[in-house]
This record gives sequence, structure tokens and C-alpha cells, in this order.
Amino acid sequence: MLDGLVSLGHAYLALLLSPTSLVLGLAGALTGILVGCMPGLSATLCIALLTTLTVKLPANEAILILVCSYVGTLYGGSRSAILLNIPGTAANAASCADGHALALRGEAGRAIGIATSGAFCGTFFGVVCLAAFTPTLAKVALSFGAQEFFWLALFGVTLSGTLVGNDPLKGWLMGALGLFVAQIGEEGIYAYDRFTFGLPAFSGGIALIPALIGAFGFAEVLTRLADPVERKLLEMRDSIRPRFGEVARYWRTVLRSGAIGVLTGLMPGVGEDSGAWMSYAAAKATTKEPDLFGKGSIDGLMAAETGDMSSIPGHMIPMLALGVPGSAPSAVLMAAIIIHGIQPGPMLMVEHPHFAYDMVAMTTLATVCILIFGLYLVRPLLYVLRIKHSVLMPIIFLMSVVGSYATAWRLFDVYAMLAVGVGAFFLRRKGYQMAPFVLGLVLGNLLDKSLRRGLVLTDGSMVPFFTRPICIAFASVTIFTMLLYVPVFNRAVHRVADAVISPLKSLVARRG
Amino acid sequence: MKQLGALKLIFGSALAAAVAVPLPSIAADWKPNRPINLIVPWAAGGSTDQITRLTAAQLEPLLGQTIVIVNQGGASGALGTRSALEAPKDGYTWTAGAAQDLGVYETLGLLKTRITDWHVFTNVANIQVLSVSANSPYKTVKELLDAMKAKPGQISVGTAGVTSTGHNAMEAIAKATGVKYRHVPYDGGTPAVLSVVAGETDVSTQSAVEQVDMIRGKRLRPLAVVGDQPLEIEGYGTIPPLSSIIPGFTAPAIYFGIFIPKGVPDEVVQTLEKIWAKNIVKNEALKKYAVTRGALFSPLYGEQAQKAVFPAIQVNAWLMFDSNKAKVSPDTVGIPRP
Amino acid sequence: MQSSNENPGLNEAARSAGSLITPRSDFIAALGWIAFGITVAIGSWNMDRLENQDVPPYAVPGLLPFFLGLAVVFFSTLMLARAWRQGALAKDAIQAAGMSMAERKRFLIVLSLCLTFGIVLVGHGLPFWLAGAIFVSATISVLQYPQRRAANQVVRGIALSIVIGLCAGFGVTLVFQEFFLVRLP
Repeated sequence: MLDGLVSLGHAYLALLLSPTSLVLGLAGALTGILVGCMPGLSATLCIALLTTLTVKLPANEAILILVCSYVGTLYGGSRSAILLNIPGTAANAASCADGHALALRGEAGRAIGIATSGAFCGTFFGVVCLAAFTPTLAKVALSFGAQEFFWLALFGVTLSGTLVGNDPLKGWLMGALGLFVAQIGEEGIYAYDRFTFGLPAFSGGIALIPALIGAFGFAEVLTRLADPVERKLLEMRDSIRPRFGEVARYWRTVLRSGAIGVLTGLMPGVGEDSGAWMSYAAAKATTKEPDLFGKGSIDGLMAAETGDMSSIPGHMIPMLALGVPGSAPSAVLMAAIIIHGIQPGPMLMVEHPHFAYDMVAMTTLATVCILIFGLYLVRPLLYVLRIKHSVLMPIIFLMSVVGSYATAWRLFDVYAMLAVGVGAFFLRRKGYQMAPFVLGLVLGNLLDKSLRRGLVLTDGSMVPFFTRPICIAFASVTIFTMLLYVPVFNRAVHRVADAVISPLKSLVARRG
Repeated sequence: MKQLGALKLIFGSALAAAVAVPLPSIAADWKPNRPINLIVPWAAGGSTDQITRLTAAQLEPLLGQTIVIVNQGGASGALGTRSALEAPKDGYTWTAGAAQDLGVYETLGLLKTRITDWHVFTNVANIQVLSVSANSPYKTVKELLDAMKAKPGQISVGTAGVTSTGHNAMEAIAKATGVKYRHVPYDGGTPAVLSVVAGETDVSTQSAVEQVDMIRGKRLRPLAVVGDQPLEIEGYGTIPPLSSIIPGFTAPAIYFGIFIPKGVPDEVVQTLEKIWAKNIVKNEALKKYAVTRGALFSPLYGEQAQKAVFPAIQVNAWLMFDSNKAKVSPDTVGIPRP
Repeated sequence: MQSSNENPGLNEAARSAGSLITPRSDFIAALGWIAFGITVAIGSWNMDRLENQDVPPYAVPGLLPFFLGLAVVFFSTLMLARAWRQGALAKDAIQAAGMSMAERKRFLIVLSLCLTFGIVLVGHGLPFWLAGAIFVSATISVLQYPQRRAANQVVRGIALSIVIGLCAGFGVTLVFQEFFLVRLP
């Protein structure tokens, strides 16, 4: 323990006393923020490209740039979510609803300030967990088997169906649609092509990034431009100062979202986006002002931004401790670390005892970098707001086309983006939310494989899906969430809850 | 000029076949004037991606040009390979991966191409290792095989799917010994290996590269190399070959490398062959990767590479055919039964 | 499934004139969803079970898609029933408001411009910067035409949009091609 603290101290000193590393950190974070601002350029893409560009640098400097750009991309993604209602990266989709609502009210600066402070606190909270848990983790992640992953995926989609909008039925339909679209293409077990209509291009499936750009970017462009009235443009009169006063007021949300973010980060295959959505859900379930959610709730925005950022260090924990990256960007980050000759995994603490602490120090530096940019350098980026829609939207569409092409260089992805966008435009008008669709798309593969793998392991028996301890927990929460929307059940629950809570309340009141 | 080119091609390949002879210096060096695209037909972060990125980083200073890696997954790697095949034959689009995958696309009906349509530049060869969890009751290969015979279809083997090298290795063992097992597919090599560590499955036959950390960390117990050569792993010791228990057992090594479609300008191929012969054979970074990751460092090119990769293609193609996955018989596309 | 007081958003919205979402529109959509769900379920049922590859029946590729199809049918049937109870079939059921004529016209123009760019202009030999510039200039000119004509600035508007288009085309191409090294179509 003491050794650990000494190593950590050394790592911090080495990093903070070297001007080169400070400059590199700032450069990485700035690149990340710029990439994050542009819809369609994901953290995965950013890290992958920077890996190739920095491969000649010494290991620690290169990895520092990558870590800072990783944190920067997710932070930058909230910018376009708030100002344009288009998430810059998948992880910022949860920030759209409330952040953009605030911006529409003329409080864009406040929203950005909240995002900055939420991001700072979230990453910082995650860093603390990274330092504390990495050396001792190996066991928890291993207790997740096929059955647990199955429920995790189902749980995520069910929950997101109830999150946004006021019609869970439509949410679940969109969730099922997203899960279905994820099944298109070659499945991973027997390499069998599903729903490809014999076309080889479909075999690669509908990739997440084009679908995301279509559902949020292109659909938004169509909605804005179809509106014959040139709307008044967003103005940002208020300051973009981070709001630490609000952090203090919503400390429960910050802590809860931080913990949820780290926990979702721990689970392999569950990305930053789930971290954001789950903390958003938890905030909505516990807040005093649920009506405000989706209409500019500070609680909601804070939860989403804290949740996605704290999942970054969360992803690094299993990546370092087990060599199992938790998300696509951390998978690329791990590949880059391996390229630099350091193998994450159970042997890391033996072979490179200082590396885990170096990572902690690097992530801390990244946190400080985004705070600096959040304070001083973001405003110049915001001149985007002054531009008229009829000028801005065609340019955004241009970027959407390039963005959906940029990851895999396939024209098919552009066509997929267009198709999803037109579909999303009509569905959105009829009250269907895109968030459950996207989450379904993200989790579809996990759901399919863990269901079939779980059945193969038990010769087709469904029993373990309901008897393993973690499964019981997930299953009961999922089923309970759905039943809550059956009126009879809902009324019964409320009766029971009232019967339990009101004596407690009066007890507390008397004491108070 | 054209004749000269053809002549050079003949000379080039003839000379490349003779290993010790240095390459002719008549080839003008290729100086790429814009970034080269290297399509990795698998997802970012996987084992193909890792070794390809490392190799690209070694090539960049030698070519004086950036190599941009693009991940195009799908159709067991055939989608990305197709883009490389359909790109202009100017030498600026390459692909990478395991030669045994590329060699069976035609058999599987995924893509009309053969390994002989490509210039192959290998970097490492992977070897499969038969392992069990460190707290498993099976201490030797014999104990494991006896248990598989006693409980047919009960002992589970985690692999990266039916097209993976891990599954091929287990199929080879099953064919040689007649045992039956339960096949549990995972999303990739690392999750499959992890499932053995976690106790969800009993046995792993993934490549040493994917198991090496768990072996060194004493969480996996390697029983044998799936092949006829022992493997030394730094920090662990030597793993005996399976042929010491099952006499006559062989399995070909799985070669990874960079592939360039035939039809590109001669100077591209000759420059790369020169780089392979002069620089890559003594490249320290690749050697270090191989030694620490439990792979075999094997930089080959030209005819030699074609000869080295072919056995694995044969085995793979016929395995696919025998398990009804193939669309056409490997015989008809120039792959005789091994 | 839902009584009127539990879905205030929908009914309130339905009562206000010109709403996009009404019980009637949900009813029609639910029929569409049911058809989709059944198609998916049938497609999954008929999917190759890979028996010749010794795939056990509980691991066939069509397993999850089949259940997803059923789930879609289940949820959309609930929506159908809800819309019916809310009076979707009543004679005086409120029709969902379509787009206004002006909106429809603008939407079709924008959609055709976007699709022309994404499908025809990109990836068929035209350099990307030029395709981008044409698209951006054309879209801005078309969308701003009414205002520009009112202000008697048509020529100026078109000139300006060509400048913006060229800047956007070059800018995007430069950033992606030179900085991120993407080989654009």
C-alpha cells in the first residue's frame, strides 16, 4: 500500500515537472476536444489515428497524448450535443436532451459550464477509483459470465426505453428495432450472414457510427431545414465558467454518477455511452424534479456528463488489470500500449509496476487539461452559433457524409447513414426516441452472443439465466421496470410504497 | 520497357526463391509520394491489428511515407480484403492478416481470390497452445484426453468462433484422437482465453500470443503446443509439443503478414522484398514482440512465403469443407487435400 | 394498457390542433410495426439452421432475431390496443396533422439535395472538394432564395453561397484528407 503511494507520488512528480509532458498533454487534449466537437469523429478514430502518428515517440509520451485525447474527445463531444443537439461522440447522446434544452433557453454557457464541471469531477472521481482498485481488481470482472452479460444487455435496452420521452412503449419498440438492426450482417459465432439479402456489403453490418450520425446528425439537418421559418439563432450571453457551486448543490448526483460510470466502465463490452445513460436513468429515478428531465434539467446534464467521463478511468481498470478493454476506444488504447512494449494484464503489476501509476498520473493531467480548455479556449469555438441554419446545416451534412465514411472508408456506410437518417426523421416526428435505438444497436451483438453462448454452456437450459446471483438481480430489476408500466401493477406498487414510506416519513418529520 | 518489366518479374521471383542470393540492384527504388493505405480486415485492437500496426511502424521510416491503417471488419475478413483487391493497382493499397484466412475465401464462396493472387510478406507465425485453468484437475494432456473420452461432449473448449485458429487446432486434436468436446464460441481470442481463467470453459486452444500473459501470470496451465515443435516462453519455460504424446501429430503454423495484390508496379514489390531481406529480418522490435508474445519471428517473402503459408491454407480449407461450411470443394480452386 | 390520465402528453398533444401524434396515427403505425415484427419472425424461423454443421437447435443464428420479432409484435399489439381504447377508430378521431405545403416543399427540396449529394455526387469520380462545394453552394442558394429575392440580392446571395461552398468543400477536404489522412471518395 505504502509502496503504491510512493510510486504514485513519483509518477506525479515525473509528469508535472516535465514541461514536455505538459505541452504534449495539452496538445493531446486539444486535438481530442476538436475531434470530439465534430460529429462522427469518435474517440476510437481519434486514438487510432494518433497512435499511428505518435508511434515514434517514447512510450510514456505517446501514451500520454493518447490518454489526453481520449478524455478530450469525450469532453469535446458534449459541445456539439449542447449547441447543435448532435452528440459529438456516442457517449454524449445522453447530454443532448437537457443540454440542448438549456441552450435553447439561452443558457448555453451555463450548460457548458455544467458539462465542464461534471466532466472534471467525473474524471477525477474515476481517477481516484483507478488508483485505488486497479491493483486489486482481477476477480470481479471474471464473475461475469454469458448469462450475466445477457441480462446486462437486456437491462440496458429496457431501461433506455423508459428514459427519454414520455412513451415507454415506443421506447421499447425502438430498442427492439435497434437490437434487430444490430443482427444484420455476419454473426460472430458461425460466420453466417443474417438479413443481408445476398448483398456482400451488408455482411459487415450497419456500423454504429454511420447509424449514429444518421439518427442524430442527418435527421436533425432535415428537421431544421424543413422548417420554413428561419428560427432565431442560439445566443450565448452567459459565462461558460465551470459551475462548482452547482456541483456542490448536486453532490449526490455527481457521486452517484461517478460510481455508476466507473462500474459500467469495469464491465467489458459496455461503453462510455452506457455509463452516461445509466447515470442519467439513475438521476431521473431519484431526482426531486423528474418533470424537468429532457427539458433542461441540470441534474440530468450533470449526471450524463459525470457518468460518461468517469467511465473512462473505469474502462482503464479492467484494461490494465486483466488486459480486457471495456470499450472500443480503450481497446485501441490498449493496442497502442502493447505496441509500445507494455502488456496490460495480470502480469502488469509484476512486469511494469510503475505503469499503472503512470496511467493514473496521465489521466489526472488529462483532467486538468480539459478544465483549462473548458475555462479559456472553448469560447472561440462557439462562433459556430452565430451562423444561420441555412448555411450551417449543409456544412454539417457535408461533415456527416465524411464522418460516416471516415472510419472504414466504405461508401456503404454513407448509404446506411442516409437511410437511418431519413427513417429517424419520420420516426422522431411520431414521438419515437432515437436513444433506445442506438443503445439497442450497441448492445445487440452482446445480447445475441451471450444468449446463445449461455445456452451452449448448459446444453440449452434456461435455468442458470434465472438462478445465478447477479442474474437474479438484473432480471428482477428489468422485469420490474417493465411491469411498472402496467397500470394494475403500478397502482399496487404505489399502494405498497405509500404504506411503507408514509410511516417512515412521519417518523423522520417527528424527529426533525 | 514492358518486356524489361516482365523480365524483371521473372528474374525477381526466381531470385527470391533462392534465399541466400541478394536481390538484384537493377530495381529502381519505389519512393511513395503519398500515404499508403493498409486495410486491416478485422476490428481495431485484435491480434491482427496489433502486429500489423507494429509492422507498419517499422516500414514507415524505411519507405519515408506514412502508412494509414484502416479497419474494415466483416465477412470473416473478406470485406476488407475485397476493398484491397478492388483498389487501383498502384501499390498504395495493402491488406494484412493471417494467410490461411485469405487462402480460403474462394472455398467459402466469400471472395474470388487465391493466395497466389497476392504478394505475401510475412512477419510472425502464431502457434496454438492447449491449456487449462491453473486450478483445473487435468495436469497432463493424457488426463485431459482421458476425461474427454470418458465424458464425450462434456468438456468445453472456448475459442474465438468456428472460423478461428483456436477451433481449427481443437478440430485437429479431435481428428487425431477421436475425442468429442463442447465448442463454446467467444467474440475474440482474449475473451475466449479469459473464459478458461474464469472457469466458464475448461480448455483453450487459442494461439500462444493470446495466452502468454495468463500463462506467465500462472492463471493458465499450458499442457502442450498444438504441433510438433516445443515452444519456449520467456518467463515461463518450455511447453512440450503434442507430438510427444500423440506420435506423428503435426499442425502447420499460422503465418501473419502484409499482402499486396498482384498487378501492382514491379518496383513496389521489389522495394518491399529488398526491405524484407535487408531490414525486417533483423528488426529488433518485431523480434522482441515475437519473443515476449510467444510467437515465431518469421519474415518471409516471394516464393518462400507462398510455400510457408500453404500448408495452413490446405488444412483450413479442407476442415471447412469437411464441416460443410465450404461452398466449393478446395480441389476445384487449387487446394489439394493435405 | 394506458388510461387517459397516465399519458397526459399524448392526449394533451392530440387535443391541440395540428398535432403530429394522435391515437389514429399510433394505430396505423402499430399495424406497420406488427407487420414488420411478423416479417422478422418468419424470416428468422426460415433462416438456415446450419444442421449440416452440427449446430444445436438452441444456438441457431435465427434464435434472437425470432424473439425480437415476437417482442416487436407484442409491444405493437399493446400500442394498437391502447390507441384503440383512446378512440383511434371513432368517427371523429383527430387526424394527425401532416406537413404544411411550405414545409413539405422545403423538406422534399432538402431531402433531394442531400440524397443527390450522398448517392450521386460522392464516390463517382468527382473530387470530393468539388462535390462538397457544389452541394453546399446549391443548398444555401436554394434555401435563401426567397429572402434574397425579397431583398433584391439574388446575385449577391448566389455569389456568397459559392464562396461559402468552396470554403466548406476545401476546408472539410483539407482537414480530413491532410490531417486525418482519410482518402476521400
